[in-house]
Amino acid sequence: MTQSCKDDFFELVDHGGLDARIWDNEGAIEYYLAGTYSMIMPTHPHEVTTNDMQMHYASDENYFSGTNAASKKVLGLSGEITLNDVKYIATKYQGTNIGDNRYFDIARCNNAIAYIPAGTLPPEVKKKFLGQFYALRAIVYFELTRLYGGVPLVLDPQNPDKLELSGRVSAKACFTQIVSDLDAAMTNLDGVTWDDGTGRGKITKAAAAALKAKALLYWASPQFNPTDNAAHPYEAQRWQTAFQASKEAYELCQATGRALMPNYNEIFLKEGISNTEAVLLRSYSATSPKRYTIVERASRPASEGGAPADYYVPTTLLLKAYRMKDGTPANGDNLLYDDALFWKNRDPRFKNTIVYNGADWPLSGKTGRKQWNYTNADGESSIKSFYCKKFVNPSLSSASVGIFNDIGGNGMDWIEIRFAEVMMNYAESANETGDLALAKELVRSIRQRAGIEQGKYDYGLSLAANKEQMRDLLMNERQIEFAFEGKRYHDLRRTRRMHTLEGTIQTYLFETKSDALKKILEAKNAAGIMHRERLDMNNRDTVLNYFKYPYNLRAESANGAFAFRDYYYFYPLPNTFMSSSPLLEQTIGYEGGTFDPLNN
Amino acid sequence: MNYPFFKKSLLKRSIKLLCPLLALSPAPVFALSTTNSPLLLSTKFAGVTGRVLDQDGKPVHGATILVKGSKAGVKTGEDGVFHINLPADNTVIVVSYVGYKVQEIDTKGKTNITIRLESNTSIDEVVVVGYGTKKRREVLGAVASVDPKEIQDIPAANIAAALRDRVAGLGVSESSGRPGAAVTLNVRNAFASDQAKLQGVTNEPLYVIDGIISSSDVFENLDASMVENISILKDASAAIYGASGAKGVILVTTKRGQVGKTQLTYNGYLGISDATVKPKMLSAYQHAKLLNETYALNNVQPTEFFSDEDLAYLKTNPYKSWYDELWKPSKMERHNLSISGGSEKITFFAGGSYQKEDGNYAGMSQQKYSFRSGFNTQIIDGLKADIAFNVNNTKTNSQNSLSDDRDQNFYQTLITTPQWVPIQIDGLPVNFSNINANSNTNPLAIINSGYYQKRSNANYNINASLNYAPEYLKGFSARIQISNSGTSSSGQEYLPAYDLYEFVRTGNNNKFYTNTVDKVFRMDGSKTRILPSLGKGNSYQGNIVLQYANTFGKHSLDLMVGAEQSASNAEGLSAYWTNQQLLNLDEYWAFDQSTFTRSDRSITEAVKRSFFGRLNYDYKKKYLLEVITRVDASSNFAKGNIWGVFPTVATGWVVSDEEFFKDLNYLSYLKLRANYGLVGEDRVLARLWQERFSVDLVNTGYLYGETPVASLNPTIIANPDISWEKHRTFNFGIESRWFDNKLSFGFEYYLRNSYDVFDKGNDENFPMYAGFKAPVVNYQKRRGWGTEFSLGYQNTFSNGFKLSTNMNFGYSASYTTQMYFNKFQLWDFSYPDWKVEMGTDSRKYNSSNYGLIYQDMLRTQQEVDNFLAKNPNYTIDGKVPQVGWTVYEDTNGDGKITEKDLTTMFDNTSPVFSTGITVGLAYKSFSLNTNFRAVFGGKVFYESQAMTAPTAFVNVPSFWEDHWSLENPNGKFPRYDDAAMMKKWNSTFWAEDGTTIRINNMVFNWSVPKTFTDKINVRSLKLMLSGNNLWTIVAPFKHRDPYSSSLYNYPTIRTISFGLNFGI
Repeated sequence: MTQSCKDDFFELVDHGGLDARIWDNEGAIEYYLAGTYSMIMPTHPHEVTTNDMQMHYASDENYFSGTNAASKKVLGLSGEITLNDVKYIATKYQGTNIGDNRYFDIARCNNAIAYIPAGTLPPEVKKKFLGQFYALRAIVYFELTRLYGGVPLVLDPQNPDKLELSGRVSAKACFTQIVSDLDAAMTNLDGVTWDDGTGRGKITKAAAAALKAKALLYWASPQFNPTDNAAHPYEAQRWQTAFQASKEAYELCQATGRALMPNYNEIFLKEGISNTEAVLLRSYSATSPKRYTIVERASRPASEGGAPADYYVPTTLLLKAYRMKDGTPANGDNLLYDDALFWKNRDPRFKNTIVYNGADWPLSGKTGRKQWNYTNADGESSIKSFYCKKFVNPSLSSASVGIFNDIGGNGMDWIEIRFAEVMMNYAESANETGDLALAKELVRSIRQRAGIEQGKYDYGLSLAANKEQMRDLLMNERQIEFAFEGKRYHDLRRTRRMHTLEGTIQTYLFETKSDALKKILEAKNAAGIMHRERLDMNNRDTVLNYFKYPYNLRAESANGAFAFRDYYYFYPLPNTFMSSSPLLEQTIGYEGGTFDPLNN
Repeated sequence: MNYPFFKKSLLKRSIKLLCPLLALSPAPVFALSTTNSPLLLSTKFAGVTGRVLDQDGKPVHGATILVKGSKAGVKTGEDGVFHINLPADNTVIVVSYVGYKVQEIDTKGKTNITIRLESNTSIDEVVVVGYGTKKRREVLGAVASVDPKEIQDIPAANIAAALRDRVAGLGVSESSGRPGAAVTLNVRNAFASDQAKLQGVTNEPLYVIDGIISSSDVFENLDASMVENISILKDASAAIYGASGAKGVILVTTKRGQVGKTQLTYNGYLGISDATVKPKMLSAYQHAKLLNETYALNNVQPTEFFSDEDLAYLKTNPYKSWYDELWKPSKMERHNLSISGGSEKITFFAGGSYQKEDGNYAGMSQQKYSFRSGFNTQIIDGLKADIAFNVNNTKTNSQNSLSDDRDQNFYQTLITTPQWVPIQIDGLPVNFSNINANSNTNPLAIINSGYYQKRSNANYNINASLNYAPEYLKGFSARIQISNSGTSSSGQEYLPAYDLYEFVRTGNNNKFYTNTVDKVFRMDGSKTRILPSLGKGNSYQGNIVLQYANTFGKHSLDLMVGAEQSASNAEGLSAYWTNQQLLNLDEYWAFDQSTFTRSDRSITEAVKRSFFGRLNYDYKKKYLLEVITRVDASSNFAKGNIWGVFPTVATGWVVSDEEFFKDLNYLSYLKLRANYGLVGEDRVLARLWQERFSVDLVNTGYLYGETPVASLNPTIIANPDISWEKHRTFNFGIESRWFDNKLSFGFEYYLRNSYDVFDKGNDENFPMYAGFKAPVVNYQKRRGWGTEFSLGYQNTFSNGFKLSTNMNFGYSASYTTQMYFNKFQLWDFSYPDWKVEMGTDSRKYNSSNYGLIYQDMLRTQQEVDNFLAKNPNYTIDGKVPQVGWTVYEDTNGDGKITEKDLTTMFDNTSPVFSTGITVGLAYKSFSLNTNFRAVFGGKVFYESQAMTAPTAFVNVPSFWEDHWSLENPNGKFPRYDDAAMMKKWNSTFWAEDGTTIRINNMVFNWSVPKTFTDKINVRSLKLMLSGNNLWTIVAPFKHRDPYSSSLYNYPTIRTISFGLNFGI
């Protein structure tokens, strides 16, 4: 009773949380930052499926785009995008899970940016934190801007008594803010290095520079800088700005040891300091609970512990996009090309990415193992006619592929920006600003690393004689180099090439000519090895002996041809978001839409 | 009204007429029966003269004096005097008069006696009203009281469950019949929105036991036979408990010793429990036949069908259903032993009770032990001490999970597994799963594996008070009370691995089992688990109360002021290990130590400080006035907002004491009263006023390389202004008694205006890009009104037959008049948000009254064609109606049936009349007490689970036999693939009239005659036969009990028990 007479009777210790004191506590901000990275840093493609996130990987690259309802709307294969279809921005009033509400992610950054400077931590500690929060905020705004064109800019902490919100702002205002945040990040992170063991994946000055170069590349690209829009005349100057930023990013990356990995097939396999190509990444682990990735399971065939997904199945369009091993186009006129053996003599990235019928794929450490993708192949359930080997760790045992008790998989880090992209961005802005030679030089080193032969056409580069041809070559190079890395969708939108797609989504099927031939293929010898293991899949006669040719096609019967609408380059805000504020205008092109992001 | 009254007066008059005649008879003895009693033949008589007076000392005319054990007796004259001749061997007389307690008096050795009658009406009963007691006639609020004796013999799960349908305005809901399942009380439809409940807001009343604010757990642990009184404060009279008084207060006083010889009392019962409604599911044959029929309609592969041989086999299905395999009648028992006694200086009470309730499967049981003791002593003149010490212990054990009171998953598996699936073959449990939650489980395998979950909760309470009422300061008293309580809890879940067996199947569609094991499914070691948990809590509460009460002529004054303070803290910790290494050992060290994981850790603290005062004034006990004010401070709010002031004013008028009423002799008592006041509520999450971040160690953390880092996340945005929720309550009451107190009638009307009600759900009032979750605010407004009627009739007829009945019923509704909603989202007006709920009526706008308007069932192809001709684009959930489907009204007029056509179906789903009735009958040594519920009208709906379509993995209730098919086009229910049913859309099709008549419980008592008990030296001996949830006479559904919300829930239990009660 005596103690109760003190004034602090009503002051109880909070055992369940912390209050605003966190801004004076380095450890607490470190935790807060971790939560912010967790929400904002991009994941492996298709890792997060809520809110139709997967529609933002829709493209001519993967078969999934033809089966996923939201993706089919994007591509116009079936249905069309209506007001409530693009939910990336927000669906909930919470920021608990990735994709709930991007403005909750932004609010985390806004709070840190507003409150850390007033805290009691040493200035150099504050700078390290601030740099990362600025860059993280830029990442969110950049994602929103490239999808919706222009969104409300909220930069200060909000609370019910102090709501300072306006409506959508122009793309220009968004990009200005993104660049300004990234400039702030670069300034604050100047001289900051992270230890790989405890800081891998934290944003560096070079990463911020790469993000800035990427943002400015978008700002200069046709999505935001159309070449044929009288109301919004083309501004060539933007390419100049993009070029300067790309140059700076390229040089900063080089200065901090970033370089192409020697082998294309090791880019995702090597992690940590041995990976010189990772500029911006999100770490995953096979042993840390809930920090797994399902990418191995989604890539592998069922016979080796996988549950293969259509999003790792290439379309005929991607298969055709690969050049031949000397950089020349793969078409009927090319002597190197054989349509029946379309995997033969290709750019080595083909076989380093795509697993065709009978391809070598030493999974689970089984040397000499071949992968059979023909219909009803013995030993396989849920057969895909192709698999993707990019995100697979072949030495992983099949038992470790799945996730049990929140642990498992290959733990492969997701590289959001690799040095090759910095180079490609640099090459593109060089080409647009008239430096064809520099553009070719950059692509040349990428093709050399890929294993393309110099051949008669300088790795195929001499086939591009001018800016326009080089532009196409660069697009093709990006499609191949970054296949299945989730870039193609954005590249097609950024360059306003999505609506020019022709054909539809389909892929090849491999089928045995007869059941009898299938039995022969699967007959075992005395050692228990099937006949098919000894086939030479690069021998035309062998292949045609057993398998149907011309190859049949797999397609979704309900799908039509690509029909991307030209107003899809900027998406509509979803209903719940729109109706939460009277200040919001709908995107132009959609029902009731008045907001044109390109207006100033 | 006139007619019965007229009859009554006639009756009275006729008795008066008879009296003089009787007086003329030669012997002053009359016999009510014409048969010759042997008594009359007895020759030895002793004459006794006596006088009967009422409590005010006035002579009583017409009281009956009987010779005990006979029907022979006399009546008192106008001066209250009687004379009776008694046989020498029977000197006990029985004195009775309506409205007064029956007394037995031994006249041995006396010739002249005076008998003082005691009122047996409750006008003068003592009612506990918070920090004191009052006589019933002085109470000015809606205070109901329950005599625990009435409910102590009912074999209900606990004291709260036994209160069902006994008090007007008190709702009782049991989540299921599972032992230990929660029973919640609700006073006058106290409301907390679904959103608010997530923020720690409750709609439960406040529990106060012996003056100490307590919890529902402690209340439920009380044994009714150790309780003296239960009062329910329903209106603003609860303001004396200002904090948390808004949702009613349950006040309990436990027993204390009485001056007199030490008495030992035992009471207890032993009962058998079983389901009130056994689940009636399709037999294997019926099930298979139905599936075949659906398959035929949907053109499925021939290999899916049951062949004719299969069907023939199923007619003689060799297996019992899983329910029949496991479900057994269970045992329930309760024993209570207490002693009490004392002298003028010191009295004591001590009692222990034990209750054990077994579940009907899976080794479930709940045991409660409790010990209560109390000493009252007078230290010096005017200084009294009251010390009580109580200990409770509840143990719950089960061989299946305790996490769900309704045990849905487990029970659902038992009843929905197709009956051609055996639970075991040759002692090997069959691997069969029909619901996701139970994949790769088998209830029998779980039970046999050694799985268990157990919990034990113990609490103690020391409650001491000193009361000082010095003689030199007449009317003044001071009281100080201190109590300390502690709780400790522990529990453990042990989940070992088990094997399940798959067997080679046979039959056309491979559904039937052979005895040959196909493969063994062994549970993964990582799923084995041991999870111990510990918790403890401590609290104290202290108060000082000063009181001055005095009478100045006709004026009475009672002034009380007090102060109170309390503090409590609680913490809990649980952790688990997985991957058992040493089999059959339920010890943590038998598990993989590297798997140690924290499951839960919580620490909470709360404090409260209050000042309160109550002023009572009355003039001639006829005009009464009461003013109550309480000032409360709660630690749930920020400094500056912690205080709440809750005043109430009440008045009463005992009309029947007025002179002009004295002549109306049919009206014995009439009181009008009204009160108006403010009550508050602080039960909401603490620290909503403070910006807050919490650490998430697992879910949203991040990884740098291989280094995991926890995340710190903003929880909710602060609302520094959050403070008390308030309810302004008006109550008007009438209490009346008629015809010599035989008939009582009570009426209450209340109007409750709630404001500053905790409201969450205003997220949408902010732009979605504001980036925060809306804070909890004091914003909502609600208005509720209700009436409560109670009718009672009690009479002891002259032949000794006693009747006492009580009936209560009422009407109520509540409206939300203000809540946060987003004006831009008015298009979304569906449950659970009811965005346009403003000012709407809860009798219409409630979650169950939301569905489609049923039009018709298309019974022939012709009907389908006609319908489609009229409604060419009509679809239900995108499907074109087929024969045997139901069709619905297109309420939004878009030509098709979608979610947007769901609407409120009926204007009012509440019953036309709903009442609880208690009838007590007593004759001589027998008594029978029955509690009924009768509900007329209203709408109830089939639960969504009952709409589940059958599959080869899921069985359905047998009412589905009567569904539409080609052979049975007039079936009551639609085809299984009915589009609306597949979506589980509710509709008027699924509505039934809610009329229910039900006997909740019945207690039959036989008091062994004194002649026998005297021989065995026992003060009293009573035998009882009683039953709870006895039977339902009228019910809307046959497939489940009206008290069960779903057929997948552990069913409501009927218990029939035999009891014994004796005192020495």
